[in-house]
Amino acid sequence: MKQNVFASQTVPSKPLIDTQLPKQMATATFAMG
Amino acid sequence: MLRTRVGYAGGTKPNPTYRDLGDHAETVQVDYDPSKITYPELLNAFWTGHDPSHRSWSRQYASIIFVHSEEERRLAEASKARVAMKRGITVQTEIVPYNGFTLAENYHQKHSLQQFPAFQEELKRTYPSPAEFVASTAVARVNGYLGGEGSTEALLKEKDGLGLSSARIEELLGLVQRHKGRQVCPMPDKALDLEHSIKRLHQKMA
Repeated sequence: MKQNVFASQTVPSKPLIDTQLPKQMATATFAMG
Repeated sequence: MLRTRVGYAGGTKPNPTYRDLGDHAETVQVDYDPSKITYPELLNAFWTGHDPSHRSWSRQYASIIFVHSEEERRLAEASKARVAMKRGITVQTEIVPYNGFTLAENYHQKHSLQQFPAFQEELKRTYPSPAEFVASTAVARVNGYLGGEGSTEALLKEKDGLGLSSARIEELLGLVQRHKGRQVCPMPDKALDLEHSIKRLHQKMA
């Protein structure tokens, strides 16, 4: 069987924590002096 | 804390950059889950993260809370008054309506990860584009742990979801153990990366 020479270039799947973002998100903005 | 990014806000100059930021201030922006951490808790991290009685010599280093709503304005004003009374100081912090944010250059983002190339390399395999890299919660969390925030307990709970190899996780656990006892954040697990972003903001942009 031929080896897949492109296998090492495959982008890994997203980390679990990035697939479980909450439906509600808020944004806050600060400048800290 | 879901993710953080550093940039420029508060001014009028279009498309500010680090070399030419005009009347903008260096700013950290935070995305958070309001069911896990409240705005007043974020304000507490803001007050403990710097000296709000210090009057800035330039707009670049001003202390500002950018409020995104009337409710945030009310909470920020009340919080500011409490800090002034409790510490007996004149708080120089401005409270102004949010008027947009420009993301800083890539080399200012995720400062701690830049000191740990092996971690950065693993995460960049998943997120090769700078925009996705900065927007990743996993990247934000790992950056916070590397910067000395967060607890062993929190890391053990979420280690399998960070997208790191077992070798990097072992290394990270060792680092977090060594950091133990010198955390300054009053809520290290909830505000992970925010406090870190704040502490490193000047360092990053210096």
